[in-house]
Amino acid sequence: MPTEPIVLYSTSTWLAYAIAEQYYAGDHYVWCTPHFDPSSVPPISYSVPPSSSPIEIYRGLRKDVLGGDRHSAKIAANKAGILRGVEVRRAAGELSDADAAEIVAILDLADIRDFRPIIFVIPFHLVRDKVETVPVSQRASPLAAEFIISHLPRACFDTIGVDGIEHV
Amino acid sequence: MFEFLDTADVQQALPAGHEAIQFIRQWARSAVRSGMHPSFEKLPSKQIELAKRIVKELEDREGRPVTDISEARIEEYIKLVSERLQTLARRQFPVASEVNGEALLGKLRLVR
Repeated sequence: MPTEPIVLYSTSTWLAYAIAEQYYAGDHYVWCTPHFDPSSVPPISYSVPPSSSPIEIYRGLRKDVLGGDRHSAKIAANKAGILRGVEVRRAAGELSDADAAEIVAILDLADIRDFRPIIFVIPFHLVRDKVETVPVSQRASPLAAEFIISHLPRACFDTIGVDGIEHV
Repeated sequence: MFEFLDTADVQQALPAGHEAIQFIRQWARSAVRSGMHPSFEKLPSKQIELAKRIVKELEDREGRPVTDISEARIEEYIKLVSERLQTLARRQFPVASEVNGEALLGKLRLVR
C-alpha cells in the first residue's frame, strides 16, 4: 500500500459476530483488506483474487444461506474457524470450559440463517496500532494488502449486511 | 477419513484443523502462484504435524497435490475436516445436563 488505507473491510458470519459479542466481550478476530470490491479499483491496484474479496465472500455466503445449502463448505469452514477461536480463547484463559461447551452446543443447534454474512467496516485510524500484516504465504496474492486484527473492539467498526436475512 | 482427529489433543487439533482448511481452500494455491513453498510456518510444531497430516491424507486419497484437486473435491474435504473438529469439540466440551442449548441460541439471537 503506497498510502495508509482509509477503511478496512472484512466479511464474517452473524453467528461468529454474535459469539464474539456474547462470549468474548465484544472482542473480535478478523482478516481484512482495504479493497472491498475488485471491480472498483484498477487491477494493478488490486491483487486479491475476486473469490477472496469481501464482496465475493459475502455473495458466496449469502447464496448458500438463501439457498438453504445445509452442506455448504463455506459454512463448514466458518464453524471450524469458530472452534479455533474457542480453543485459542480457552488456552489464553479468556474462556471457561463451561462457556466453550455452550458455544459448541450453539454451533450444533444453529440454523443455516445464523450463518448469514455480515460485513465489518473498520476505519483504519481506529485500528492502526492493532493490525498485523498477513504472512505472504497466507495471502490470496503476494501483493495483496491483507491484515489480521486479533483483538478488534466493537467500538472500532460498523457492520452492514443483514440484507433481509433474519433468523427465524 | 481423518479419524486420527477423533483422538487428537483438542488444544492442538482445533487450530490445526482450521489452518488446514484455510490451506487447502486458498493458501496452497496462493503460495504456489507466488513461487513459495506452502507451509504452516506460524503454527507450533504439534499443530504443524496435524495440519500436514490432514493435507497428506487427502493428497494420498486423491493421488495428486492439493493444488491440483478440484474445488468441488476440496469442498468435500473441508466439510469432512470440519465435522471431525465438531465431534472432537463435543467430546472435549460436553454440555452440562442443565444447559438448554435452544435457550442459549435464543438468547444469542438477541445480539445486535
